[in-house]
Amino acid sequence: MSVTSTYTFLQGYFNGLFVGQNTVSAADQLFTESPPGSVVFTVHRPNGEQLVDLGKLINTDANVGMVAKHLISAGASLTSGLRVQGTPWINVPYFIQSPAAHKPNDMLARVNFDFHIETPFPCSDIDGTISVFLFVFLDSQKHLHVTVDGTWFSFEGGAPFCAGKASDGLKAALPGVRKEIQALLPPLTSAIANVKFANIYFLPGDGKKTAGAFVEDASNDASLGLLLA
Amino acid sequence: MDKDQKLANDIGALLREAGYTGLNVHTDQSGTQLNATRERGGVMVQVSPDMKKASRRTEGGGAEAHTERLDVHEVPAMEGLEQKLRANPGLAKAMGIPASHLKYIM
Repeated sequence: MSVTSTYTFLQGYFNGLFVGQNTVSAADQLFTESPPGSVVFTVHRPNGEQLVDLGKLINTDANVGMVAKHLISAGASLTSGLRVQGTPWINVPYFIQSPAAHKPNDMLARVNFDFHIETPFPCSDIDGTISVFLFVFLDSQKHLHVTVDGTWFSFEGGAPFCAGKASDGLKAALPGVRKEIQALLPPLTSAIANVKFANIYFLPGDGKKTAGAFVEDASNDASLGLLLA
Repeated sequence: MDKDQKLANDIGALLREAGYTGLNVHTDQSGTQLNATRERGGVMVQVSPDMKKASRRTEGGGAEAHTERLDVHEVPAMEGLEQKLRANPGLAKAMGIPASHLKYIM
């Protein structure tokens, strides 16, 4: 069964809530997707699509616990689950450090979570987000690879003088978080290490194929569609 | 010497002269913060180039340092995004793309 999925983004392209509509067909169809720039994104998904729900793989109890442990070492606490969002390279916060590292259109997976830091009087408490960007690609042998591309943190608060100390603590904790996430990646691809793929694309949400309408959040979950070579 | 740096140094000297110890000086994008203690008391000073931005938002991070060149053949992409952004820069705002990033594709 092939599926035509139409995603209507309510809060921006691949961002926030969207309404999905799947139409299932017995006939196969070629893969096509509509260009960006509209609030509506239509994907024709062939029979042979292999689906990888990144949110389901990454936002596990074990991974949440691992991230929470590293945050505690930085004096912070985890205040969200682990979200996954597809985002173009031009929208990655460290893009301007090395714009030519990828093509502006290339999509990366942004794994991110929120944290809170209690600060001593008279500082305001700190709330922020840490993001780890994953670069997904096929090599010349058409095998799937996932690597950690970079990390970023941002937070509000900490005035008048606690932001610097918090920033230093987060910078110290980031290598540990990055190392743990790097260790998660081989299991993501080991099961399909010898499989060759012809095409790879992002879908918002869990990529469900069941017929009908649904509402999901593109900032919480993203999936990979893979077509066999 | 930068005027604010001299100011921070002078404040630090005054604090030490007044018996404050444990002077901590931290400089980041929001300015320079000084704090020190004396017995059970303390003093805090912030020198900020822009009070409206002082400690409002802090960011940091960057790309991984890859030691080997990746064999990249196919990447998931938003085909046509660059052309769409050139034709309609307003789209960047709708997608949350910072204006400072756009100049690299214009």
